Amino acid sequence: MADRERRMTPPYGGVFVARTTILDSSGVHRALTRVSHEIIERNEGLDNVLVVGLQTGGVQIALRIVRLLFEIDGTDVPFGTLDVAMHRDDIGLRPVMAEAVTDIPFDLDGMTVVLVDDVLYTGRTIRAALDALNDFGRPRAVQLAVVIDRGHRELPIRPDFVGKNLPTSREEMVDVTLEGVLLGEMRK
Amino acid sequence: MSVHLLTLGELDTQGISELLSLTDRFVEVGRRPIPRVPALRGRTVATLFFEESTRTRLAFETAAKRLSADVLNFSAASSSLAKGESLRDTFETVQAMGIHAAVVRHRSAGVPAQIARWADDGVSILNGGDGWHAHPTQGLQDAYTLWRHFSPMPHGQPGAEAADEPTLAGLRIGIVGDIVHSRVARSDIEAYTALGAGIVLVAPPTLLPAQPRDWIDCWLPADAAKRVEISHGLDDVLDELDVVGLLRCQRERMADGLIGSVPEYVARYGLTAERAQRLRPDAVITHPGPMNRGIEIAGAVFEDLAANRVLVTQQVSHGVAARMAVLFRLIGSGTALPSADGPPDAAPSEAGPAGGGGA
Amino acid sequence: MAEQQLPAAGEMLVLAGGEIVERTGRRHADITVLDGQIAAVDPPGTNRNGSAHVVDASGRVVAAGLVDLFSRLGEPGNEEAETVATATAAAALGGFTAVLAQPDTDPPLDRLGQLAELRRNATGRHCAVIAAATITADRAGKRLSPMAELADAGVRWFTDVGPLADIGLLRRALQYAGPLSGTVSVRPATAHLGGTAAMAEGAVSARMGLAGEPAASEELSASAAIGVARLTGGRLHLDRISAARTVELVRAAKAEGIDVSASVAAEHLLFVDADADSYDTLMRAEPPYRTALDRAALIAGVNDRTIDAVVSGHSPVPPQAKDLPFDEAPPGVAALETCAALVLGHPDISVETALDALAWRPAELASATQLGGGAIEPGQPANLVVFDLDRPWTLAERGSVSMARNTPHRGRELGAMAMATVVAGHLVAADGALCGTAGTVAALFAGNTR
Repeated sequence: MADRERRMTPPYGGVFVARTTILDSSGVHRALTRVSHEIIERNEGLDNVLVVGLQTGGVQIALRIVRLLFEIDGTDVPFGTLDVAMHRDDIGLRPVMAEAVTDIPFDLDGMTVVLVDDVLYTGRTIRAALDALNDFGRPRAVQLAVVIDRGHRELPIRPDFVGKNLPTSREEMVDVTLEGVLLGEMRK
Repeated sequence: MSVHLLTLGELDTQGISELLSLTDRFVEVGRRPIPRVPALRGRTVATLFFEESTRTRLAFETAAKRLSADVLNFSAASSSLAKGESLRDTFETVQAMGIHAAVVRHRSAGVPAQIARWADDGVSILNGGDGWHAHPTQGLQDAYTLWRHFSPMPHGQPGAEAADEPTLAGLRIGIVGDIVHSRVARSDIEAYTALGAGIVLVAPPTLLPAQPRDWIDCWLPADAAKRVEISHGLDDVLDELDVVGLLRCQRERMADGLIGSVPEYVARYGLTAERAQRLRPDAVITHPGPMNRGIEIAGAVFEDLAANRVLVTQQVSHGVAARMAVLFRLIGSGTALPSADGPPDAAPSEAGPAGGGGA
Repeated sequence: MAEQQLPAAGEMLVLAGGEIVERTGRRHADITVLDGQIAAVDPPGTNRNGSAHVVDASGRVVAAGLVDLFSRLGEPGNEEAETVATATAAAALGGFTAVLAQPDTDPPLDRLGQLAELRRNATGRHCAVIAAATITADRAGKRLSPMAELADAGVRWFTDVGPLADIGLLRRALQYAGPLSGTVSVRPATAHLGGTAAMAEGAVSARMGLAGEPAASEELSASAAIGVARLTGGRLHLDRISAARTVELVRAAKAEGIDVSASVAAEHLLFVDADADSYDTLMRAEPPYRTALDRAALIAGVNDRTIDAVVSGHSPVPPQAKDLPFDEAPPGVAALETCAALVLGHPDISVETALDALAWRPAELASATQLGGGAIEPGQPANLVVFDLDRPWTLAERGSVSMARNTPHRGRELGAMAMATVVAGHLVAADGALCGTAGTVAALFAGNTR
């Protein structure tokens, strides 16, 4: 899990204690390979497709997807990163660190943006990301790829590509890296 | 812990570094097709300028608007100060309109500190320049400009920013001119030394505090004070400098008899064409503006030096991002700035459970 | 504030069981006061008339009433901040039986008409008011005021309350005042060396970005004034000095036999320039607070009696004035209620030294031993004060009778407290409260004020 999530999740400054391994590293790899195939299939190729990783947990996942897309299709898909801290709707409710880089070195007009994040939960980060993308242009379409969909949506947002659906309780915490997916909780 | 920004000295190095790193993020926002983020939506920032300064006000106003804050502008000229209302009455009137931050500019030193004592909880005071005392956001923009000139922002390298700590270590920075009357000099000294730079103050004794060494030693932390030297001749130090920080030479000073004449000042402290020849090849020039061409810097030098050697425009454009960083950090982030007095707090106590573990 | 029962006219007042401290030594005795005078000083516990009003002074110090050589009373011109009634009440509560009213009023006290007006206004107040007059007409620093006329009317203290820039004029004033038995008082400062600056010049003012007044501003002015005192043989007072080298100059001048005296404001024995670090306008002083070295020299100067008097420097300002920027706010402290407590509670100053600097010596300098600071003997006017030297208190808790609120001590704990003040035989303050109103006291005070 990104250090940033750790610091911003109550109890703040707690430690993540894993209980169950959901996927190991080869499981993550297989899931992302499937997601990559689905991206190509959905878009009938990779023309005008861009990948944007959400800071910080989505960036390593997005980079892996870009590599897999190249391996599968031979296309070098443009890649960017997006930090949504300044677009969140809970600024002031909890500590917000805006330290991660936003780097979208291309015009989004008319492009298909595949947003990549590690975990889809309430949907608020994705809402913020959609807002933020508006400031960079007007994409033809935005699609959402996540490794884990853990439910508990608070907004009408659904993923286009999912590595694994994982029913969780709100007290639980999901840790996603390229090395694996762990389920556990935060402890002080 | 501070909810105000009155001087850079009250932040520790970590606090200054944090604001400069954050400035990177807002420089990026400034490059977007729509350079605006909703981070301070619903917040109100008042600019209380008891002394007019179009540049500083514009920089703060632009910063606040790019963060989607509402801006209330107050000028002494348009106020009832002239009718005998006290400073406190004026501030409390503005505060009663429901503000989250006030940028205070005054020709008297200390006014932002006084106003900070009268501020309600939840109202942050930002010093927009007070007398000869401090101009912390100018210090931040100057330090940021130098940091990013000598260590450019890494591009397209995820993770590279982790090792990219703000620093001016190894640089030798000259601050030249009217130091005693300069809030910019004081804030630049605080910022540059906190980031590890060596400083040479270059001025005639009449434009320095009376006992400059005592001043430096009593003011700065010991390790920073050691890195500040004092010189009375630009020629003595010119070829050692990585940065020549020129200060504005105000014509009133000549009326006060603090220097013999303008030509005499130019001959000893001006960046003349002849001195420009002797600059180190990678040395850069800064100036807080507005510049007196022909005094601090010869017009020809300004025209001839490559754009990347005179950083005046960069200072101005970074000024907006630096002020966005300060506003966001003070009234948008939900945490106080780490200060020299204590550790940063972990979290606001009213924080409710929010979407952990990703979206 | 609850008012104490005022003893009826003609009633006997007894200060019982206290330790009397005088220049000649300490002794335990009961003091009986009748008809404005000390009637008897008896061994403690002596039988007395049962109808006497008794103030229990056991465990406390009894001394001659304190005399303040520097108070601004607010009238005329600054009634928004203070009046003679409220200032004298504050003085009485602080242990003073007489205050020297500074003449920098608006208009300044530079002629007989204004002198008469002050005396009329000061009659029947809680303590005696001694009038001072300006050295120069209209306090303009150009030509002498009618000093002889004023001296004929009883004025012995002449001051423009600040520096006198024209050293030739100071020479003439000292010459002229000589046969009038007048003292000429100046606060040494040099205008061209930042003599009006908000801070002392030094590392702190440089850091704060404020213009400063170097110690040399005071030294040079003091040195020049001492020079003309030597030249004329006149009686010079250096008012509220603040710098170590000025103390040296006074010490040397006294050793040489020059007729010079000096005072320091009580706050200068406590605060230094760095205390103004947060731009607290209550820390803007006149003259400015200087370094810890200067403060140590001032304390040493009080202790070796180079500095004759510690004064309150009472300078009331309207509340909103301290809400101005530091360099625009008027300097000074409303100090009458706290001054004596500060000095008597000062860790480096003995009780005898404090009383010499607050009462005995200032009374001599102001030719006012009939109003305070005199001997405690039968037949002497009864101007007395009772102090509890171990009585922590704060102004905030006790409440303040001065109209002015410009004090840095509001919440600070002070160690000594005036428990009773007797002016011309009348108990005007007791247990931290005034006795009687100005009106009821008025009748008892006739002729008390000069």
